[in-house]
Parts: sequence; structure tokens; C-alpha cells
Amino acid sequence: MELEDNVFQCPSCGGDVEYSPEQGNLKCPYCDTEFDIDALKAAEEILKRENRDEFKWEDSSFPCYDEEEGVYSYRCSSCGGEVVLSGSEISTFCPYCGENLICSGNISGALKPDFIIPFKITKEEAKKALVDYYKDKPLLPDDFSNRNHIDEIRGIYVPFWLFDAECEEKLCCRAHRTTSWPQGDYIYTTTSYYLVRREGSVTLERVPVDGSETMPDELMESIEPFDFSEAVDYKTAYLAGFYASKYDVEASSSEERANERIKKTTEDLFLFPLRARYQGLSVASSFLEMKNGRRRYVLYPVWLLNTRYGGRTYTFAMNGQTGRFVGEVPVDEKKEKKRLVLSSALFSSLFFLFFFLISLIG
Amino acid sequence: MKRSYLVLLMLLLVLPLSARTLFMDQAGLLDEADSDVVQQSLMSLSNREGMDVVVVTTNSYGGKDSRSYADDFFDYNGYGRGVDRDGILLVHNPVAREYYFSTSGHAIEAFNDDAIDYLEEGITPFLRSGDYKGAYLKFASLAENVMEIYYSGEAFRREEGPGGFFFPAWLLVSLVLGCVSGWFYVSTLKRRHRNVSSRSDADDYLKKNSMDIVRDEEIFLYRTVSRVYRPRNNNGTSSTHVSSSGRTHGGGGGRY
Repeated sequence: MELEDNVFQCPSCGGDVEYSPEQGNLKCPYCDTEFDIDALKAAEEILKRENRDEFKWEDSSFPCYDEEEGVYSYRCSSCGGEVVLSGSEISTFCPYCGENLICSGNISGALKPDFIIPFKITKEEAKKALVDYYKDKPLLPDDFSNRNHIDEIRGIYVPFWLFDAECEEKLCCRAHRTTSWPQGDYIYTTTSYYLVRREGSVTLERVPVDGSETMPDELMESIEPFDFSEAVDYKTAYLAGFYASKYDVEASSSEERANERIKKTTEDLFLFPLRARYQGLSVASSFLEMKNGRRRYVLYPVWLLNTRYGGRTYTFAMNGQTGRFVGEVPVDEKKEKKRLVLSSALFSSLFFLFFFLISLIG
Repeated sequence: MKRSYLVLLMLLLVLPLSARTLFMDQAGLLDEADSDVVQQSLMSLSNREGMDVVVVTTNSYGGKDSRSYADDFFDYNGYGRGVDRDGILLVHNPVAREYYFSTSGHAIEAFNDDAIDYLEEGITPFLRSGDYKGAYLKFASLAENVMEIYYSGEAFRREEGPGGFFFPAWLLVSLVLGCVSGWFYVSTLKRRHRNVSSRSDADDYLKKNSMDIVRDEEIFLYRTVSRVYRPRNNNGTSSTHVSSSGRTHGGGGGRY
């Protein structure tokens, strides 16, 4: 900014501007830009400060299962999915692919969840939601919807890591505000440039990250949120009649996803009111420092149905507490082409009729 | 200047209408029968619309350019109706292959630049093919369209030029729009087959009233001022100039 004694560079056009003390604010002789040299220097200093986001998660110790609880791990010989069941049932089906499961032993020593949200939506309700989901889809292949596979829908307790964090955010933005007014034959526009700083703190509670490798993160995030106020202390008895997906993503591996989501929400929260205040806004720097980061291990209820069709797996998943569901079903290409041709023909005729009528009126 | 060929015309402000010559075929391009047809057409149009619509043919401008010739011909032959001498005159020179439209009085406003372009586009195909009678009659009919729009209180705009329902063009447009709509409809149906979406934020997990702002400041850096010329808000523009008699004319012309 400062080239030599009392000569500065204009922040708008780059021209050299000489500073005379009696003037106060500087005015560029080339482009009439007015600027406050002290503020510019201060802004430069602020922007130079280097900081990095800091996420510190406490290492908490979790309770573990003991042998007496009778919780067994099962592995699917086909898809490799691993589930946990209470009681050593002789044979059961994999909730992910429908193949047989093989008991791989008691899971004593494995982490025990802190909390569990019991299923609230019954299997019948989940099945009804699935049938309704199929209804308004004219492109669904007939043999997909006709298949009698809806009974295979399974209730699974999915492991989640919950992250609590107190975040301190330091946000620094470049912003400008523009005003225009007509005067004589010209329209004048003044643009004022600012450096805006917003700092403060906010607390996030129970940000969930799916702790099961077999469950796609995208799918689990789609059926969020779960209402934690209905969570109860974990008891193995809740597992009766349901599968539980075994956690296989360590808490530390889930942190990255939690950090991303926490960062985005915090930054957006601090940025949000600025959008209304300025016409132009860009983030110059944003630093987040997290305190008292805590992790917990919970089981959330999910209804799940995987269907193989045309060499692909289509998944229906439903939040077993709120009933929110997501799904993917195949598209019948023949039906799609037929629809495309017919609807295009119909729309073309309507447009043609419309233009014809317009020409008659005009 | 030699003006022996000029015909003396009476200036009439109101009815009864004159039998003045509105078609002056000095170049002798049309036979008598065709001349009569053009003259009748111009006459009935002029009477209907209350503006003189004149066509002059000449092989020479007598040392002037097409614009001055057209303006002077209009002024010195007393064309134009009403106090403002409303009228439009088309000069056609088959030797130079040029034409020029001169407008006067209210016709300056009625025949704005868009309207002059509209007339030019209408008559040049006829002039090129040597169908002079067709060109003059086309001029009369297009001029009528323009005057109708003017009397309806609107400014003539290029796109408002009356056009018929052109079948193949509209069929093509309908097909394109129809296919786009069909594709859009099917895409919407397909989109319903998948409603999985990842969440990149954690907005659902903000603790209520936990936000505490400790700093909220703005540092003024600099200010720029710029200005742009403000164009006048006009309903169609008419370019004008002043003729040798000191009167204002509008119009335009070109070669074919």
C-alpha cells in the first residue's frame, strides 16, 4: 500500500496518491476514489493474521459389552455386512442383501452405546410408506413393484457418533455497499468498500455421523434429524427383534465429517445477517476454534430395504422415529421413452394450438 | 433552378378532397393504366389517413442528393396536410437505383426509424425485381399499417410489424418447445425416483439461544464514484434534419 514516504497506492485504480496531513481522508486524483489510509493499513494487518480452524475432540472412554449380555456378531458371507443381534440365533438373513448370516461370536469387549432411540414406527407403517412411495411413479418397472419383497423390510439400529461442540468463530469479510442517484444527464453510483468482522460463539449439540461402513453416509444424512429428547439409556433388551449394525467407523474417522458440517453451519450463521447489509460480500477469512468437543455413541432406529434389480441395488431407508424416508427406485427405459415421445407430441400440439389461437386474435 | 415540370398543387386542409397528383412518374416507369392504379391507391389512402402519401420517380436529382431532392420536392410542391403539412414522399431513382423517404409534420413521428426500416424492407424486393408498380403499392399498404399504429397512440416498433401466421416456422417452434417441455416433464418424473441428498450442514443441531456475538464491526476502506450517461426515455426515435426551405423533415433511404 505504502510505496515511499507519504505516497500511497489507490486501492481502486492503483494510481499513486500523495498524502497531505491537512486533508484527512485521501482522494485519488485519477479516479476520485476516497480512502482512509489508517483503516486500509489496519485491514491489511487483520488479513495478514494467520489462523487455522481448531477442532479438539475429547478422548472419552466408552463402556464395553461383557459376555453375559449375550450380544453376538454376525457376518454375511455374501456382502460382508456385519450386524449385531441379541441372542445367538441359528440362522438369519442379512438385512443388506438377504443372504444367510453366519455367527462370528460374542462381541464382548466391543463398545457399548450410551443411548438408544427405540423404534416408534411399526413395520406395518414402514411397509405402507413404501407402497405409497411406489404409487406415483409411472416410470417404475412393473416387475419391480409387483415383486412381493416388501416383507423383507428390516428394522436396524444404526450406530451414530454424536458430536457436541462449543465453537468460537472469527469471521472476516470484504463487503461493499452501492447507492445510485440520477443527476442531470448522468446516473451517479457510489460504492463504499468495507472490511467486516464478526466474532462470537455458538453451541452445537449432537451432530450425528453414521458409524457404520455398510450404511452410506448420504442415505443416513437424508433421513436426519432424529429427536434426541426421546433417547433412553442403552439396554440390550431393546435389540430384541431387530438387527443392530455394528459400528466399524471409529469415532476419530467420523470427526472429519462432523467438523465439515459444524464449520459450515457456524460460518453460515455468522455470515447470514451480513448478506442483507451489503450488496457484495466475500469471506476473506474464517477461523473456528472449538472447545469442549464431546463424542457419544448411540443407536438410531432405521427401517431398511435393499432390492437388487438389473444388476444394481436400490435402497429404501426410513427414520424409525420420525417416519422421514428416502429411497431410490429404478426407471423403466421403455416406459421412459414412451412417455417422452407422447408428452413431447402432446406439448407440441398444445403450443401449436396456442400460437394458432394467438395469431387469430392478433 | 429549372422546375418547369412541376405541377401546381392545391393545398386543402379539409374535405372536399383534392384530385392532386400523388404519383409523379417523371421517369416514365409505368404505363398509363398502372399509373392510374397507383395514383388511385395513394389518393384513397391519403384521404383515409389524413396524410399525403406521395411517390415520385426521377432519373436525375438535378445536382442534389436524394434527401434534398425528396425534401424540396415535398416542400416546393405544397404537399402535406394540415398546418404541420403531414405527409410522406417516396423518391425513386431507377438510374441510380436509389430510393428515399421524406417525412414531414406528424409523419415524422409516425414514420420513426423503425418504421422507415420496415418500409425499406418491404419495397426493396420489388424494386430489385423491377416490379415498380408492386413496390409503390407495397409502400402504400405498409405506410397505412404504420399510420394505423400511430393513430392508435403507439410508437411503431419493428417487432410489432404485422406478420401472418407462418405455418412451418410456428410448427418448428412448437416442436422445439414441446420436446423441451416433454423432456422436462419426464425428468421431473425421473427425479421422483431418488430423493437421497447428503447434508453438508448441521443446522438442525444448533443449541437454541446459544449464539453470542462479541464483535460486529465494519471498517471503512475506500469509496469510488462513477457515472454513466442516462439515455432519455423515448418511444421510438425519429431522426430529423432541416431541408433547404428551412422546414424539418424525417425519413431515410438507401440503394437496392
